[in-house]
Amino acid sequence: MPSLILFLTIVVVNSFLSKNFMSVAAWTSFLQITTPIALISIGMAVVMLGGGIDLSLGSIVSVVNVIMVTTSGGFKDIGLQYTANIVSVPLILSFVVAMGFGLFNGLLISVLRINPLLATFASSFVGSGIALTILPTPGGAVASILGDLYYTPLFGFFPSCILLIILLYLIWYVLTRTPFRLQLYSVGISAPKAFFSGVRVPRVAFFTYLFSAFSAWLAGVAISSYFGGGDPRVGSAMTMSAVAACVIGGISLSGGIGSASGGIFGSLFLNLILVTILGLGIPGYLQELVTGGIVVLSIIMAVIISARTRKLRLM
Amino acid sequence: MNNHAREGSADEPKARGFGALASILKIGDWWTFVPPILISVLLLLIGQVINPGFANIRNIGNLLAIASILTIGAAGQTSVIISGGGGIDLSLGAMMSFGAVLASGLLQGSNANITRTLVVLLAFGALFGFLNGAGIWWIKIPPLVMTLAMASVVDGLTLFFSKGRPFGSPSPFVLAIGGGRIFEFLRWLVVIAVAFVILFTFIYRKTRYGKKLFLMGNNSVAADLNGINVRNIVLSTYIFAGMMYSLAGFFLLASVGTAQMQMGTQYTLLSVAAVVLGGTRLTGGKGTYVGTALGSIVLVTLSSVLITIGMATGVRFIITGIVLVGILSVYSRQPKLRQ
Repeated sequence: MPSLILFLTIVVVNSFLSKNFMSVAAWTSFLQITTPIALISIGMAVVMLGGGIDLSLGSIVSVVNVIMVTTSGGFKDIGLQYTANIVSVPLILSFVVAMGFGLFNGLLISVLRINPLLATFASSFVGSGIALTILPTPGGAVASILGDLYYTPLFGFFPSCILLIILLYLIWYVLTRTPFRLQLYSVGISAPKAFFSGVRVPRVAFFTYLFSAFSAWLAGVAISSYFGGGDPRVGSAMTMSAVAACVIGGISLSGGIGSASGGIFGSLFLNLILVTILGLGIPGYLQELVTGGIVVLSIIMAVIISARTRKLRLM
Repeated sequence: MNNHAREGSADEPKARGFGALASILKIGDWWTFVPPILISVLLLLIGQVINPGFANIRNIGNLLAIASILTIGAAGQTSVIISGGGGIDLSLGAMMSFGAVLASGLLQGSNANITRTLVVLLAFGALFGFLNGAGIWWIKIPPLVMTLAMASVVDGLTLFFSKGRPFGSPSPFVLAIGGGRIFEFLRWLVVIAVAFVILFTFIYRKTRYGKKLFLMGNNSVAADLNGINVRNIVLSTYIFAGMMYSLAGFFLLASVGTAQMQMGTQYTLLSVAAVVLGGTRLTGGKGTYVGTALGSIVLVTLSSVLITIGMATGVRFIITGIVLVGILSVYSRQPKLRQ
């Protein structure tokens, strides 16, 4: 588990660097920022385990965000207003649209057999286009109860946002108790071999894109609750972070190696670096270079560590 | 085996018409050029119907000039994708932005600095390319991830160099290249792009490096067993690619006139799309640079048509995405599992 090692290292480093880092408040706010990216990293991890990649996740997050913002006040322009369903209607609508994207990606990749990288790249265009059309400029607000739920800790100390990660991870955990686990990993290692062993390869691949779209919906809900407002570009930087998080989390890009928890720890690690660098007081124009350099170094370390451990296991 | 390997065999039937021309010019697979040409012409006609004057020779010249920048940048992408092994370069856009911002800062509006600027640009491009290749070859990081991470480093370096506010300006000569015309319709950028197309087609078809590149893309194990130094090919491909991105950034600056942060970002995925549109196989070992150039023209024409119609940015994105899906589903489909 290279990402866990990296994560713990940076936690230790951080606890020396800043004195109040180990406080509950600091961790709560850190987890609140990190939850959306951790969620889509789980989705990305599952897709990558099956040998695919989903570049449309960030744009789905943006679409979910703008749909939630624009429907939260009711459909004023067509004279339809509602008060009771101010939470459920945006949630259901955005869920339907997000899963629509999952279906679209699944169709392109499983049925039309388009290369996953290009197919999801194309649908990310569609997604960011839809987000920009619905809400051209940042603005609006989601129901404040969502923010309250997101920010209020359970039992006074437990950050409620973690529940979203736990929910998604539980779904993954239940799936790994079924034959799906073996099918997914075998498709990731070699789709033709899995096919000749009787695995329904297209169906497995299709499912992974539905799962990742679901994770993007959760991430969209989380980020909308976190910000409270709408921004058509809110998810655009998240896709690549999720890919990096998964690689740091020890998930092989060629598929079949790793676990969804790798995505979680990878994203925690990445965001912790960002938070650390912001806290160090490095001038703004240097921050991106430093973070980029650290990300490269951690990817190198993660790749070397996982290559070593794989060798050990084979022996 | 792919086509170029069979070229020149004695029993090959004599090609006629355009095929004959293609075989004289040693560009194999000329039929892969037909769809992008047809699509471009169709798009031009659509543009002409919506906005008379769209297909006039001057506007076509401008479209070609815009496509030239994408073409020059995508030269590196083409080589990287042909090299196979999951080769793809997502640092293209960042390196183009870096090239443009650095060139602006080094030129300082003076023609005297051009040589020095170009040398520094090419050196940085080669350095970034080498780092990409080194991570991919020695540390075995997948190209997608390595180049993605490199993109964030290069973006960071651009920010560090410019402090967020690009300074300097291109010199008069550079601006003349970027905006000047030889004739009414022929802009200098197009001439430069055509020169690169000829150069790269020559490299792919006639040099030892080119032959090795295609062989490695088809089967790197076989290439290795045949005594080809696969490491050197991988490294030199990424180094050349990095140099091409810097140059493309230089020409982007020449064409736009002022350097901006992130001005090359959009080119990353456009270049991949152009390469695929041009009939290059994503898994490597097969492809042409002429195809990439035609793919660039399609993409530029498409976005220009959509702008002409007066579409909002969002709708333009949606249509670009759908058209991309359509094109991909026509000729970038993977083989069936049941064979």
